[in-house]
Amino acid sequence: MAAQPYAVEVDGVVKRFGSLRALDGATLRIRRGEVYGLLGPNGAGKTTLIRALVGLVIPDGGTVTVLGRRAPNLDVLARVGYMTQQAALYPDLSAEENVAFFAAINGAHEGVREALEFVELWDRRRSVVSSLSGGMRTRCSLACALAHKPDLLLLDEPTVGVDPLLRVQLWNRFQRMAHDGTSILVSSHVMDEAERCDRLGLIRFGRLLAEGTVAELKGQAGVDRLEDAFLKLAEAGGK
Amino acid sequence: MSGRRVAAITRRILQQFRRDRRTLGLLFGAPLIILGLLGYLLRGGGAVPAMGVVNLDDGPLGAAIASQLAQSKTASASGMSRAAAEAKLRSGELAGYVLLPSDFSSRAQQSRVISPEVHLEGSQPGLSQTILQAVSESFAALAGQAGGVRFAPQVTFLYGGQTFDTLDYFGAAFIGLVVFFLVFVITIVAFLRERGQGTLERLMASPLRRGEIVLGYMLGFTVLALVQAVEVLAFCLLVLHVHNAGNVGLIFVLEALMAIAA
Repeated sequence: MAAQPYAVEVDGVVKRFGSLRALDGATLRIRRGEVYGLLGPNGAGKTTLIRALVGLVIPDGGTVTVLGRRAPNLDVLARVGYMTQQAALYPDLSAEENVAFFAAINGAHEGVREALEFVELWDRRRSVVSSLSGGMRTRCSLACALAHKPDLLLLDEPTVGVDPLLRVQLWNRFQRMAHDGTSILVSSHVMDEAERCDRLGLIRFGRLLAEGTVAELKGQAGVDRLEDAFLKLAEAGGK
Repeated sequence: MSGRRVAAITRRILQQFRRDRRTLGLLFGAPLIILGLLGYLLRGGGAVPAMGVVNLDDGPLGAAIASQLAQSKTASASGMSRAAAEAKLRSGELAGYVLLPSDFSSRAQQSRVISPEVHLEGSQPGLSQTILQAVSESFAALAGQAGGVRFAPQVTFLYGGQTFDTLDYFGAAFIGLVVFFLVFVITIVAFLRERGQGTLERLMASPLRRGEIVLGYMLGFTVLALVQAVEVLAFCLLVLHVHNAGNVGLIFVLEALMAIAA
């Protein structure tokens, strides 16, 4: 199979919830093996866009292509790792049992240890999730998304509640995974994390206002700081 | 205590449930389903019960009562031999039969007492009551012709009778109902937790098909329900001493089917 240049292609996607247009013609491309940061304020449409990629939201218009197949596609979903904003775990199972379960439903029988080591929870693998701290639950949720070694990783604000040291380590590992060929989409509104992405997309009112590397976005806005660039581009896009 | 704060909570509850169709369904739909099932279990489907009439009377009274019973709308009566009636009672085809002995008319004339033998299957008190009512009505219709005669049927039960208490009669129905209802509630709670904790979203974003989720749920809860069925059955038979004359294995199979259906 010829390798597709893009892991994700979103073309003019529209999604309405009643009178609200959560996505209003969103268009973006995520290249294979890159870390793509989706930046935007609360309610900008980040989560809706990610949910559309995994088939939880069916667009009213436009097309979504994931790993070369039109979404939603069950076969493709086995190659996608999805970490929800809320640490979606079974509180009465141990960390290891949770990761093993999500690996199994994605067709993987190995990778549990590797995923738990990745998030530094191997020593707490037998702890019941309800006894873990908020940050540990977030890490466990991330391990659940990683265990089956997906080609595309969708992370909806993955570092909320994670301490700064581990956050740095996680980002280093995301970059290593991307280097090894995994495409990663990270939604965030934390600017220092955004600086670590290969490319960024600024989303507001369900539309992509700007897209490019950190340097390109700064150049477009004519400012030195990404935060200023974000504010300026968001302001310009809102007019 | 502040009335306003209490009112705020009350208002919040009503507002919350207004948009929660599942809970509304459970609140207003489930009771009707449960009562319907309970009614079916206790009344046996509500059909007119079948009864046999064994008329061996040499005199006219037996034929008159048999004729009245044949026209009865309370029970569906049909004449037959004693052996056939007994066999059908044991096989469950008849809820009961009335036997009018050869000296029925002559004894009624001598003692001024009409005492037919009423043989009841007895496992369902509602049906037994209906048969007795039908026999009593047939006598009442003739009471005007045979003035001053007392009606005193001799009632015997194939199962139950005076030694049975309420639990013996209703225990069987409740075994099924308890298992069905509890598994039903626990399954709903588990699914609601799945939604609330966000794991359902994760399942729906995986390659799992809906049918696989439902089947996995069913198999998982079936294992638990089977253990529960054994426990409930053992408690009823060994601790509560609910009378049982049938096959325990069949009761378990029925219980398991109720649990799986839930």
